[in-house]
Amino acid sequence: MKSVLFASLLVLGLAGCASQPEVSNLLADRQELKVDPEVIYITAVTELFEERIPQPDGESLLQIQFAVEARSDAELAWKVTWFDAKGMTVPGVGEGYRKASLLTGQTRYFKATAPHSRATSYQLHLREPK
Amino acid sequence: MTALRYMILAAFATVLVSGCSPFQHRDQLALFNAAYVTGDYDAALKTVSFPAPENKPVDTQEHLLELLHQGEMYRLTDRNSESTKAYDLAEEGMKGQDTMGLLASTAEGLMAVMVNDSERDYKALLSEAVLVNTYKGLAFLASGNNDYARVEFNRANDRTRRAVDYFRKEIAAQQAALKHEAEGGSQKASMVRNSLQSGSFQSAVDNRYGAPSKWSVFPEFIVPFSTYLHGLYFLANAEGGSDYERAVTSLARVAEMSPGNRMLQADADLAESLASGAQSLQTLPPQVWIVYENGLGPVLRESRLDVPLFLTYGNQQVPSYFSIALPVYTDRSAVPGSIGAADSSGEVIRTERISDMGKVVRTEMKERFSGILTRAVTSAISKAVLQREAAEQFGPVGQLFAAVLTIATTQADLRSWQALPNHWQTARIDRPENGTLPLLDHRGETLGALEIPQQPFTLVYVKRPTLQAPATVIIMDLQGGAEAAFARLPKWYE
Amino acid sequence: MLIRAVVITAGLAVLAGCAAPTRYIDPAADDGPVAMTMDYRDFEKAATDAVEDMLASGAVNNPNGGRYIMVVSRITNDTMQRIDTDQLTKKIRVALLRSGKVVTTTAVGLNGAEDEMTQKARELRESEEFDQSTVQSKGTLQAPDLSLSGKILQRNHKVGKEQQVEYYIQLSLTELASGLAIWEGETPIIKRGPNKSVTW
Repeated sequence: MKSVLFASLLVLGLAGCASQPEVSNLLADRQELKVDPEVIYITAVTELFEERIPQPDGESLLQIQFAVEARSDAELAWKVTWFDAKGMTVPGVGEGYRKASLLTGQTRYFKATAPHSRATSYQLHLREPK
Repeated sequence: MTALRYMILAAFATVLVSGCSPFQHRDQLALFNAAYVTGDYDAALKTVSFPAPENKPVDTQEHLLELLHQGEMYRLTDRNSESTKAYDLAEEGMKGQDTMGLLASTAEGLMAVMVNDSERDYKALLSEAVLVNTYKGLAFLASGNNDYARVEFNRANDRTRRAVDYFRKEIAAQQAALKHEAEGGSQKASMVRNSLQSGSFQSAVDNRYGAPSKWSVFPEFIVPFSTYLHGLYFLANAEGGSDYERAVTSLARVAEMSPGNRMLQADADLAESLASGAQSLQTLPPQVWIVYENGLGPVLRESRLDVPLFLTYGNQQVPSYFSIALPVYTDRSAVPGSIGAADSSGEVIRTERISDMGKVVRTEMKERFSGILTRAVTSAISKAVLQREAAEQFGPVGQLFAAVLTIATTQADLRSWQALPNHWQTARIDRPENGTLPLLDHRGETLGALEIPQQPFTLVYVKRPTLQAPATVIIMDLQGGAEAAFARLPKWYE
Repeated sequence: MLIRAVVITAGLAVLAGCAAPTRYIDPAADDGPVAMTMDYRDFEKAATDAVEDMLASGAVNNPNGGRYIMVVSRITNDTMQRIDTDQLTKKIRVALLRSGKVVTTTAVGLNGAEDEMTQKARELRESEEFDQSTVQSKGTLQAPDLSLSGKILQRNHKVGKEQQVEYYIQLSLTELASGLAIWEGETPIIKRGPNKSVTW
């Protein structure tokens, strides 16, 4: 009985170690673009680009640009969260959502620049402000 | 029927409780003036103090008039932080009144119509509101807080803009509302409108009160002293072209309002040449402005006049004479003449008049007059209707009682800010090289010798309400770099 | 007086019934109402715009490697509201420091040092009470390369029955070696609201 318990503990312990690489798998699951249903209803994200802009000192900064097309007059709030290679967030200037208004049929292009060269990935969230 | 009886009784009760408040206000302002004219600002301050429990916020709307007086008394006794605090509260009160909810303002309006205007919380004139920001700006400059002074001069300018807008559009909207209400079938509104529009009513008002169209007023709302200081401030604190342009706009506007004043024209020219680059700041000798607030500002007196009002009895319109009380501004005294300063060569430069407070107030009253008249007439008609109802309900005794109350409560609102001057004057002079500037009174006798610090722009601010009071002199750095020097001259007053 | 007292009391009772309780607001999830005055959200927007643009333009990237040293000069408050301009500059400083490209000196400023301890610590020289090897030596302070200055403007207008208030947050980054503004930005913040009272 005891040995069974010990064995299962061991298995659990091993599983604990094995869960380390699993985190990076989760990272792959993080959506780059998250759009709330209320927003999808009235707008469409038509483009989403990213590039690294080279800096004079040889480093580069991640920059994204996305386009939103409105089917009717729309209020929008958006925010980009930045992550480094290990999936940790890189803090930006503020943490609030940026508000934007769109007229019917208008396509607007928004840009965001990473706060540090170590940012390698991002998540863009679009929602409707209340 | 019983409901009507109760309403009448309630009206009587209201009147009994509050009919005496104008007398209280008048007492308080008389006490204030008695101390103020002698230059005893501490005693004047006591008359406008009110108990303020520490754990409760001040009711800034109720105490607005007191706060205005307090702010100025603190400023004239070199307590600038208390002054700005009182003025801040006064501004809060004014804002509260502006944004007051419909419920409270309806109740206030009802009180004014049933009793009289002095039942309302004191509502500052727009010109008074502009001056609050100007005085607060001066208090911040005097305490060396240039950042906050800039905010206040900006506010004064914005209030002026709002006032111009207000008079241009909103007064017209109010008139349209009354017309709309009368046409919508309100019997009282149509009585008020018929009365106001009748020729006999208008001529009665014009004969006894004076036709507003004949008053001497500015072409547009302006408080020249405030606009002038706004201009001076941005001239002295310009960081670039746009600030100089603001100085030019303000100073040129004030100069336009007083075409005969060479000092104002010279200031407008200086701003213009600094803005265009014709005059460089480096070659401009240090400048000293002497701004003189002289005398006692206009006060309200009551003008009672009997006017024909048109009441509707059944289907009949009967003109009958009623007494209405209207406020009328009358000028008070000023210290005669001007003040002077001697420059390095001994030449004396004397201050010249910027503008009268009376003219500022008349400009505003002209715009407001139809509103005041409408309220007075509405009040008279409401009371007449009440008298009639009282007679029907309580017989002759009721009518007599109602008549007595009507007489007791027909009073104009005579409150106003008493610490304002009769008029303003100004002069500009190069700073004497030794820094000592002799200041001369209206007879050319020396008030005192001022030490002007070595700084590019100095404002010597002088306020003197009467000959019995000393002149309060505040020597400020217009760039707010240091705390101001404060003096009361001549010295023998102390 | 009586009627007024009754009406006001009744009004207060009604209002008190639905008075909002005091609560914390999380800046990361604030959908609260907007005021005509400038609030933290406006400063955050202006700071975000400024910093992202500075970084993206490469203006704050020292081509010689290493970090630039920035000093905060004057940000003029030309509005009708009492603003502490540090609310804006602090956000920019923090973000620039985090970017690893710019560090701000607190040893110099228009009205003296922001942190006077830099000088005070040097007054310990010659003091017998202090281990002189731990006292800051001469010639270690670093002079700034860049200067941040700006202005916050306010313009009000009446638009129809409403009031429009426009704030312009203007910033310049001056390279002190050349005196040239190597970066400039303007964030307009426009609000429209009731015209009943003043905007402040």
